[in-house]
Amino acid sequence: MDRITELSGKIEELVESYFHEPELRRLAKEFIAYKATESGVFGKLASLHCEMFGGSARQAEYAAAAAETMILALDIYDDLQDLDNDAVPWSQVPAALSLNVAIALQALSIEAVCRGAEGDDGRAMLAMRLLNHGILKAVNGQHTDLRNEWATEEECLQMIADKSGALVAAVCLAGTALATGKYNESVAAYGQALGVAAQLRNDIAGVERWDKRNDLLYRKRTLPLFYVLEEPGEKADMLRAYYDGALSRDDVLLHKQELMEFVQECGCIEYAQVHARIKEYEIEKVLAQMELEEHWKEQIRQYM
Amino acid sequence: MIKKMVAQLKQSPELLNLVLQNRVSLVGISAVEQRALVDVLKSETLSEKKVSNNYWLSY
Repeated sequence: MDRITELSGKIEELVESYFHEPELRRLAKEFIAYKATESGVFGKLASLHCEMFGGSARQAEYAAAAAETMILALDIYDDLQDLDNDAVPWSQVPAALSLNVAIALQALSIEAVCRGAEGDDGRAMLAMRLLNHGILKAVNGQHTDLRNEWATEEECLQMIADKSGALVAAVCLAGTALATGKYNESVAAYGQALGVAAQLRNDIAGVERWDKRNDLLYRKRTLPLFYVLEEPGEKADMLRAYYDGALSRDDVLLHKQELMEFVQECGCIEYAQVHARIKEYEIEKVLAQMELEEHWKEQIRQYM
Repeated sequence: MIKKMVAQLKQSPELLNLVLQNRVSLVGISAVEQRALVDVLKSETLSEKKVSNNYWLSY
């Protein structure tokens, strides 16, 4: 059975064990199935770290299940907060129900950790704390994001570190802890950098893809768009007016070709790429100092 | 400073070429930042930039 099937099996097993209310169970399975169509990178990282440090395949699957259910819960909360994602199934049912499923999934994540610890309470406790610390950091970044509070490059990068950096580090650390029973400083360091680099690359894609999920059309504030909105000139003026609400989406779409070219050419993409690359150097520096077989390092590099 | 540097280089192809040839040191950014900047700009000049606009135009 392949790893994806095993992961789904572990999550299904947990859902069957704990979600007795039929509609809760049905919705949870629907949301999980939808999430499974995405990359599953958090689960893969958790599982990789568990295996890398000597955990069994079964432990690695539970590590992945813990990461994926936790991240799914956070994704649901995020979409309920932002109200900017109609495509997902949790936006198509009453928010109260989606919220309840998210709460249930977050709790299920803890149970997955317990099962992955295979009776070792110390490992379970540590892995749970590390996942929890990730959420505790991420909520701070999320609050900054929700309030649109950041105004400088440094503040933006701090917010990304608090959110994406902390969550990626958390799943790597939890997987590691299930295998070793220990906190690993190097994993924390490169996990954090990996999360920031990944978010920056996601934000670059958000201005490069010219479809409904374009971040600019949704008036999102990301590092590349921070650059765009500080540019001089007519096209940037138009985008500032759009962000201020003085122009509508249709007004912007009338000039879509020229605006699209402006965003591509102004330097915002290179700007975010430079910051992502700096994080990638940090990852390489940490990896170089770790006593880890090269094939494991190569697997971590796949996420850069 | 990275932001200002990128903006300057986008405006000045001559300066960009000097930077890509490592013939100039940029003031106000660290060595790591300059290395990252050169890496990014070099990989950009080597690849074709393609603006995909199918989804955008059909929006």
